[in-house]
Amino acid sequence: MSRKIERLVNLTIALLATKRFLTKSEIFRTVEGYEGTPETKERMFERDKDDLRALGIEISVGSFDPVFQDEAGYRINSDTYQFNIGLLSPLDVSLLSLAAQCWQGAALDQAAHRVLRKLRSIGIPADELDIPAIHSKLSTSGQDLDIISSAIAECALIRFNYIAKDLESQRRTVIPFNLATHAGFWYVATVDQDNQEVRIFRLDRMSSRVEKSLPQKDFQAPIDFDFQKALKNTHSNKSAILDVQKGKGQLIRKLATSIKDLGEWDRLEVPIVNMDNLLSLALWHGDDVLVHSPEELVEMIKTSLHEILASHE
Amino acid sequence: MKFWLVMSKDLSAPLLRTARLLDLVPYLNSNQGISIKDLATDFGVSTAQINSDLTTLWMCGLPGYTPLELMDLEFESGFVTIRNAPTLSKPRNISFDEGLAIMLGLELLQQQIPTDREDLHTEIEVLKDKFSNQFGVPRAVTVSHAIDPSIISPVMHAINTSRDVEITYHSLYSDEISVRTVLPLATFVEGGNNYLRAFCRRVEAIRIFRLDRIVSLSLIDAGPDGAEVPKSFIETDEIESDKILYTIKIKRLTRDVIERFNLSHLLQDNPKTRELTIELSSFSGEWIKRAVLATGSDVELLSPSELRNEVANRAQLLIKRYT
Repeated sequence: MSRKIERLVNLTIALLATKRFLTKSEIFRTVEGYEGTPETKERMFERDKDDLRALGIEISVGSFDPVFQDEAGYRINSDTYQFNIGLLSPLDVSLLSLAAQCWQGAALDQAAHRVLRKLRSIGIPADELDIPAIHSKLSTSGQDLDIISSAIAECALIRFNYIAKDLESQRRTVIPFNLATHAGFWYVATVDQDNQEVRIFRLDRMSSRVEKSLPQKDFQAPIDFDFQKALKNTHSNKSAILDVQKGKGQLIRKLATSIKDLGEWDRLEVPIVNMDNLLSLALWHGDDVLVHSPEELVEMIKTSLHEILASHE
Repeated sequence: MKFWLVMSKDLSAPLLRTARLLDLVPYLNSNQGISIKDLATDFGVSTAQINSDLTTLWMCGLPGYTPLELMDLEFESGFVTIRNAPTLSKPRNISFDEGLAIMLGLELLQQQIPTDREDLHTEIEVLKDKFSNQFGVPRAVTVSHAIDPSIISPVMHAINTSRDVEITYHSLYSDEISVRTVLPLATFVEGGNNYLRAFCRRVEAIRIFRLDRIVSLSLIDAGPDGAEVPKSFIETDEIESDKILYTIKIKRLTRDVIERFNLSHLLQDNPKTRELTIELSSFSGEWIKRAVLATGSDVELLSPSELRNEVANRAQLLIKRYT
């Protein structure tokens, strides 16, 4: 294995150092590690090219002599190979390093680590910057953030499995157009290809890797889409009426569309986006919250309470 | 817009090693004399692996491969120097995912820099422009701290300028709101959460607050010699309290139960077929009770028995209220 790695490094160096295109025969003659029959060398070289591409190294193919369309030549352009972002000051280097460190333990940690090493490789010392650390607290999931982001850039279709409330895994085909965080979770806004409706997915509920396919040229992302507003999703025609003890129930108060002062208690009107979530929230608050309507929710609460009592007695 | 080669994530071991060798050269070039130990830490591999990497690199260079063309590496003393490696002297270009990490990282950083550091905010904008032009990270990808930036920025400002702030604080488990005047001293991270250490004017002592539970905050002008904190107050760490071990029986496994009790590992196998009994821990008994109740009856609390009884009592009490 070591021989192969050596050969890949030597090939990279040779293709980078050359000012003109190198032909295959020149490569076989001069680069260390190409041995065996012509067919073996040929196969080796094809595989090596694929391997370097997998590492993100672009190999340009060109003609040795443009007048005579002779044997193809290969080289690596140092402009595409090398990190080059123009002049960076020591302050820039430290800001970029701090930006990379924001990912500690979060989704893009590994990529950020590689950038940090590259920043330490350019030979510009960093300024000392005294900025207190804040943990981004973003959920570690979202291993495919880069795939989704590039799909957004290209208007490409993506496919993934998604875990529903009942733990069933569903296959989804969507075109993503927006990616954002909310309360520590990653969300992607998409147009679902099954029904052409806007659907939002939480990345940590994806149960498979994200597969990206071809760009959809005529795709138009919804205009006037407000992601943060959509995530708070308070739009509903129905609402629940419930009483909350004064000074209590902060989580439920945040959802209220109206609050009426009843003395020791407040009467809240809360839009019903999801009945199960409201049931959970009411039970979480124990005797600080009392639900009046709808009857359906009151019944759900009663049933749950009887079952809890039965199993805990 | 320019599109970048997205580096394949599932690289084979030899390819990962090739990438590391290519990255080692510029790193050594800029960090001459670095110890093998530090090198191993920075690259996240063992020192034996670094030694083997360096031995391989030692055989690499320009065609010809005479001592004139080979890289000149010295590492026998445990410290590494490199010479004669001009071709690989600059680090490799940034891939799409790395560009994404930087762009979004800059956005996160912006939210935690004190409002009074306009110089830094301007510089970050310049860098963001530079990177988005070059790396084509779509504008539709954004990120924010789980904590409201309208809280972080003024807190940092208050720490920098030693100013008092009035905070409205929500204690989640006891579900209580309090308003107090504090002098922010420092922020720190513990167990993945962000905390503020501050001198509380009301109790005249150091108190620790979770940043994400600060509901609102306003800077107030310090009173006469208000900024002084008596030196006699020794900081006490109020986060460390004993963990409570508890056992639950999962009667119906739902996505909500998995997320509430942090059980994502259960998704690996097929858990739906079994009834599960799991031992967990939490810092708050109040949280355990509330969490169990909130699942409806999907989860039963088996132990500790005091908490189990309290869950039953709370249910009993609520049933009366609803009849």
